[in-house]
Amino acid sequence: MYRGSMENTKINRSLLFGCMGLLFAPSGLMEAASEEHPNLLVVMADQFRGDALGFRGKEAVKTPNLDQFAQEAVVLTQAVSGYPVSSPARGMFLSGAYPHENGVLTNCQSESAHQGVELRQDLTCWSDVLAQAGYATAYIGKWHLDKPYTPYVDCSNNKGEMAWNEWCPLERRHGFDYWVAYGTYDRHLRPLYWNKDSKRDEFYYVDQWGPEHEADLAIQYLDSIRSTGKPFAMMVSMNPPHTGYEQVPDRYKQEYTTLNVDSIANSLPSLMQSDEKYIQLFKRSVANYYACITGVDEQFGRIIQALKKNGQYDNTIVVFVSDHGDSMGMHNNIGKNIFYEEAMRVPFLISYGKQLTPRIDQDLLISLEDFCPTVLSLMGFQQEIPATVQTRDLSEQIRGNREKMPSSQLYMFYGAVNETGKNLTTGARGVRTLQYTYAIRYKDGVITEEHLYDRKTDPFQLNNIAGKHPELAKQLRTELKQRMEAVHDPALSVL
Amino acid sequence: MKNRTLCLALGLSALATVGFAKKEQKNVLFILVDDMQKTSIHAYGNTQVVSPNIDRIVQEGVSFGHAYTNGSLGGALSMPSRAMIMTGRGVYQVKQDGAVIPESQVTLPELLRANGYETFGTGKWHADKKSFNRSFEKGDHIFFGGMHQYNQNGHMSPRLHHYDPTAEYKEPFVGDKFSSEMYADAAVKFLSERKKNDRPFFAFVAFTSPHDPRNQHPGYGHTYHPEEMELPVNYLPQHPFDNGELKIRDEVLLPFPRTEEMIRKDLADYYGMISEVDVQIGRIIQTLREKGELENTILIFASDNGLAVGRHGLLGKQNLYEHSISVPLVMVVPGMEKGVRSESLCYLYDIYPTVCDLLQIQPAASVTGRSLLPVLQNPEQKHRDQLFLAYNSSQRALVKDNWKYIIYNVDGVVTEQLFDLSNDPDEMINLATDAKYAFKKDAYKRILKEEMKKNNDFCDLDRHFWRGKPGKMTWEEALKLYN
Repeated sequence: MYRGSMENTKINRSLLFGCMGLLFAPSGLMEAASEEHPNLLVVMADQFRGDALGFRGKEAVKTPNLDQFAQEAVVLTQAVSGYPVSSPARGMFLSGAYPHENGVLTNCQSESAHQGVELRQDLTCWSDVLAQAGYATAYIGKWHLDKPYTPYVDCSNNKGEMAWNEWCPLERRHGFDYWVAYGTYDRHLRPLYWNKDSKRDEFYYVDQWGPEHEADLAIQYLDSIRSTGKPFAMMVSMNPPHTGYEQVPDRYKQEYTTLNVDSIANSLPSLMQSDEKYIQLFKRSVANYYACITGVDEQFGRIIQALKKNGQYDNTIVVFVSDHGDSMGMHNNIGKNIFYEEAMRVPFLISYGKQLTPRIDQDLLISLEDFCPTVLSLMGFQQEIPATVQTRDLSEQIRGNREKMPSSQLYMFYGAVNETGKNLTTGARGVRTLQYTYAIRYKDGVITEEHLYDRKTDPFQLNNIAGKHPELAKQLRTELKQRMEAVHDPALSVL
Repeated sequence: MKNRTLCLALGLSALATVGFAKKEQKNVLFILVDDMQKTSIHAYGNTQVVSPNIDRIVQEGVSFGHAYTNGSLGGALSMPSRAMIMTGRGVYQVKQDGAVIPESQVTLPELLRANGYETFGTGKWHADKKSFNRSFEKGDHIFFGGMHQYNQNGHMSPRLHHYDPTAEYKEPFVGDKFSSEMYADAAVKFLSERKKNDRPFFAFVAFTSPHDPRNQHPGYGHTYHPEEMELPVNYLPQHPFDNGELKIRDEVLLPFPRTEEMIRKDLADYYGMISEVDVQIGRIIQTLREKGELENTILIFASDNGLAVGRHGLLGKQNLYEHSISVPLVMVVPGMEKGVRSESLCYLYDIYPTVCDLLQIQPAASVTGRSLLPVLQNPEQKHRDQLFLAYNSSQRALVKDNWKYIIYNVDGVVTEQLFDLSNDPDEMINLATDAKYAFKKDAYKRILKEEMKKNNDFCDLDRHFWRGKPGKMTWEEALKLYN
């Protein structure tokens, strides 16, 4: 049974007892993963574009392991990250609640820390549910859900204007027991970790590429858990291909020495219309970006191999995702945090032994933040979906059911978080349908931009047709309004 | 001074390892013709046919004398042949006999496009429209379908499309020139409009000649007179037995028995189409030459399948004889040997990984073909030990060491043929009943069965009815087999 500081909070105690009351007499704790309650393995990469999967034939990247995995999984090609930037995406991923509910309005760093931006401790996440249900839980890698506080942790990315990396204490780990993780730290070739028992100043460095070390740990964990026979839920959060692209082992760089960088750049109209400095950025970055991805792919493959060797694969739900994509200079943008396809779309592959028929699903408008209720449902814990969850359980649709398909995906951005009280009146909101991307930007409560792209005729989103098609824009704004109303989005007043 | 040179050397080598090694980005021009026998090319020894531009290609490149399409489930051989070429996969690995190319099968142009190539397509596309658009970012005068219809004025009034980014391609327009000229026009325009620093291109020009209707010819080309046509040496008025496919559209274009007069006329029409498409091929290559891009372009010339045109008493391609199932294939690679011929056995679906090797791009995971690069570098190099060929549920063949074994099953009636291709390239002497070759025949049958099993063939030679039930497999059944 899960102990720890959860008992400190009243809310959680009642939840805990509530859950126990519903289902679990102590003797009902699970001994092993069953068909009803499988294991869970989530591998999340960072800044990995949805199109950057070799088998999709869209980017010149090599991902042989993910290509193979795609034959065994449901591939959700429409998947997006609704708030495509690290902490907000991760906050929603764990909690299934939106930023205004879960506390992660923007990236956790020293500035937003003043506004208290970090994941709410008292919110029940899917990992809490599984821990309470008797699962062995493990978290490896990047976490990024805690606000840094002084004196800041003594590492290189805390020495600049802002501090980024913070320790996650035991009570804030949302049910994860085995723990080798860090807040955020981008030196991929010499990563930094705290393990389960480390105190705040007891972090350490490893002289090994992050994903490789993390895969080593994951495999060791899978081996050890096998002997206990307990059901497990493990999340491995790899940092590459996050910026710091050049920090990747040579053997992956070798794969791309002959990449047609100029031709690829020239083939992207969304890049060619950007400023020259962004075009150059893309050209400097793309080969190493792909090298990182090939590396992540290899490490993912190793973990899958271990699962299969241990006989755990068929009874494990395996998910591969990313927290957001990467603009890399397209649409005059670097990084993410914007409503264009290259930033919003993420890989989302899910397998479950023989329980899910492998297929490519081009129609399901699923968001990364739908993960929490969806996976709990698939794992047989539909009744345990926390009351605070606001996102959608799309387990039936993943199984292939085409009824009650979502009509859109929500996009959000909170601006000006570092200035008190402004985050609700400055930012962006949008909806993405199968054909259209619609978004509005607002500052101090006033809408400053309206965007509408028809992705069928304009796949690179070059032509904003909001002005030319006011009826359509109005329709989509109504859809946006409805979506925002349904989740009690406080920025609704702007509309 | 010494230090500076050292630094420079180190710097350069560092650049090289870091990936600034600029490899040459060669263009690719892929010309695919429709239903052209490999023996209907002047440069291959046919003194009757006029094909100067194709001859030029043969003189410049490496010819593959034993290239084959893997076969077909249905009668429209072109559909699986083209899907196999595009996906680099065999006959039982394409979906719905090639009618649909699913996203999971990354086409060659699609892969090159992801690698920054500008991909252009004109002419015939026998698969679905979405796969055309995934493959090509540009195109014009696109023909979706199998053949120009007789009742729509055939090649003279081809029903074509301009590029539609939505992939809906609603209403075709009627081309005002002969099909081949329209496709060449589109290709020439594309090539002419390219600028010096554009990305490398992959251009696919899929002519519909010399596929029928052949009752009309354009004003250019060469006119042939039936009375001057020599009958092929293996002409027969009638096929000696029922091969299971004697009533299909292709075969009933002329009645049985085929008289010599009929075949001479058929040949004159056929060669007429070959000469006209040869003219259009010449235009495209000339444009490349004028743009100075010829030296930087890999040129591939092939036909999707052959055609009988009177040989063995047949007219069509729904059979496994050399004239129908073997195809011309030439690759012109700048810097490689010219005018060379390889006898190595290969499938058309080996082209895909070969192009990848030449461009130093890794083929997509969905490709099962085998790269011919070692053969391009050494024409004597063995490529495949044997090839198996398949038609519907009635014909199977094995080609190995210059011998071919064909076996038929028509409603339980089995016929075998064994041909010594080195001495009898026209497949006129059936040695299947010759006791001297019984051992060889049995060995070939055994190897054929192994190949069929390895390739997940839905037929089993040991069953009375190969597919487990009598009757010819229907189109609908064929589409559902491999999905």
